[in-house]
Amino acid sequence: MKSFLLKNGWAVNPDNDKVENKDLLIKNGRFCELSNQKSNTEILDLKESFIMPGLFDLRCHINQPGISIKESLNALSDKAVSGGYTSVLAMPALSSMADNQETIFYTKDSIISKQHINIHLTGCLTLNSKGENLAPLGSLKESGVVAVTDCPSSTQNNQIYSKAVEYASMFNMPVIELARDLSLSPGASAHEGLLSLKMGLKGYPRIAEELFVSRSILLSKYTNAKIHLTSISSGGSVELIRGAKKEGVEITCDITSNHLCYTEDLIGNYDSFAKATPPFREDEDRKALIEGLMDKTIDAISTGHQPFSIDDKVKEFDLAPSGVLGLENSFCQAFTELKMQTKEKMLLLANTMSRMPSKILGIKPETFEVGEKANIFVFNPKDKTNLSREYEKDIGGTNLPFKSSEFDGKIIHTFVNGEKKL
Amino acid sequence: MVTPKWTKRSLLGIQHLTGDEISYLLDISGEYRKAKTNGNFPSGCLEGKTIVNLFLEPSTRTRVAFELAAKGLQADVITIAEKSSSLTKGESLRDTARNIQALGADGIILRHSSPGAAQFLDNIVDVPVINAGDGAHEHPSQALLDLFTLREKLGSLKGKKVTILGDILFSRVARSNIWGLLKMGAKVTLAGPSTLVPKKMEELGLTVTYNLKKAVSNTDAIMLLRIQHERQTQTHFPSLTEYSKMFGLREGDSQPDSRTIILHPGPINRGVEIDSTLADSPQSVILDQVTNGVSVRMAILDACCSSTY
Repeated sequence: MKSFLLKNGWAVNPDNDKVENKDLLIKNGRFCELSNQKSNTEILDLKESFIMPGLFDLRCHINQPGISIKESLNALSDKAVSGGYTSVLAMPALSSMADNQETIFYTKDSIISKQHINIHLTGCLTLNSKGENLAPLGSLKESGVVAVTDCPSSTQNNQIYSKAVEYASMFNMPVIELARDLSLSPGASAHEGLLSLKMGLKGYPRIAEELFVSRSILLSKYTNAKIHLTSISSGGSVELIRGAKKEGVEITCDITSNHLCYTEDLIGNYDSFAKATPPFREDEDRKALIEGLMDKTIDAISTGHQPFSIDDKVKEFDLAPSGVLGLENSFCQAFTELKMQTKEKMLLLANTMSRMPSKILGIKPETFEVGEKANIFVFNPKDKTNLSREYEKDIGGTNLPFKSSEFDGKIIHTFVNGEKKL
Repeated sequence: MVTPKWTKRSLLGIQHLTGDEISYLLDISGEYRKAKTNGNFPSGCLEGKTIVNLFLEPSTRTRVAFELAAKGLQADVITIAEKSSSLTKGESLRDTARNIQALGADGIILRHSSPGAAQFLDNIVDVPVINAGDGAHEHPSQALLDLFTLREKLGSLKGKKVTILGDILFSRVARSNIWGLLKMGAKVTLAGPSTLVPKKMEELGLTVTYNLKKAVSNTDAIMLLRIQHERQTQTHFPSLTEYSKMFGLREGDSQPDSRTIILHPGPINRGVEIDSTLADSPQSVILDQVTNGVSVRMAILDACCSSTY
């Protein structure tokens, strides 16, 4: 394995809130004392760029193994690496549902061992994510899942949800919930508001999310269960979670970087590629999400990466599937959107996109400590990143919510387990 | 002769038309209406052209009116209904539309249950697309014939008071009419049960009321909408009887002034939205709407599919 010396970079360390000028030596995949440098070490002069702990995505839909028409695993890994992600949490809708040990074992054998990036698995909360019967959560934990969830669905029945949460807490396993009351949003394909009214689309009102956010808050309060609310999108949800945290309820939540940046305006022309789960809402929601991120009501930023092929997406708006990409764009997008001093911003992003996602799942966060695996990326804030939808049929994953966009900063290197992937 | 003011290839909705464009279409509709009355038919402006009626949702009035209009302009008309199309074999709308274009259609009239379907089609094909109703989004030809009928009966619509009564939430007719009436300078009031008439609509520059008496008194016209009871009973209002009691147009208490004209896009649920006596009264212009529907659709086809303008 090749050795690297990263010189003249600024290491962003959210553990001690410091951004330090620091040289790092990577040898045999791990960080090493600088004194161990050998002559065959490749030296990378980072010229004042930032060295960040590798990002960890809390919500990634991988459709694997097998359904590569939506997005091949290679394409997904390439996007992750180019976006600074060294680890992702795969949602349980794999090529078959992760509600049994065999699927988990098979998935581990067939994809995880072979890929560029670290893939952690979730199991279903209920069988087939149908919300009717509990999945074997204990066995799933034994086979190696780190959390359970029915995302992108949500268990509708309150009894089953509360029992599942209670049962999962016995194994100290976090439950991830994409809060949405389907009875209040049947057939919905857009945020409910003036725009959906004008467009004649069935709306997904804020209350459909907020009601289920409240449900999780109350459950967490009464059972002390670990519930993580993923991809909240309504300003009211932020308010509810802020109140719960003040009361000492141990609930965590994330938003996707796309929801940090965009509003319902993206779908104004019936652009089905911008049809997201949950839907993009109004600017007042987006501002509330940013505020929540700033005051730490929101713990993490996820990608919500949900790939589809062009044939999936080029359909009548209400018939097209819901979901947008995020792995490639998330970091630069969030960096561009947040207006604050660069070093502070790097610390905030390292915390919300790397350290907190690990902590929420009870996984040791990435650090620069000697002896640890080198999962990092290097970011040059002065360069630019251009992304646009590519309609390549064979690799899938064409559904960026925007047609093309330029973001501030560029990810120039990514190391996964010490291997230089970018 | 009217001056050419039409530059659009397709007619996808009323929202993106200007007042001038609407007036222009109404003016040509008037010429076709006059020609029909005077027996000056036919005009052969679509001679040699093929118009495809792609109707993927049930329809009688609109489909027949478009067929008659196209035939009146001497086009060849082919009607494809949902059950006889390849869409039932799983073909996507995109592929169906491309095939229809490849077969040589000069224009496609689309009725579809998805909002935005007409625009979707317009992005795919190069020939004109005419929206004959897309989900709850728009139904421009219906709104144009309603505006035409209103103009015929009331003169200029500027400052005229028009109440739209009934299921606004799920109605494409309501949406197209709201845009059209506002653009023509009319004062619009929406009325009906609060679950079907969102207060939010007021942001468009109109009035929302849940008081039937207020809605129907002192107004120049009332446009009734069909209650789509197969969809909303139980979730959006309790029953048809309750609806009829609270929002049905009847003789007596909720009877409009005799000068107020009554429109309905059909099909009517007699005894629900309106009592038969009122529906068949001289105030009712429901059948005029149907007749005008052909002239208006001739004007639309002429504007979009002929090379005259």
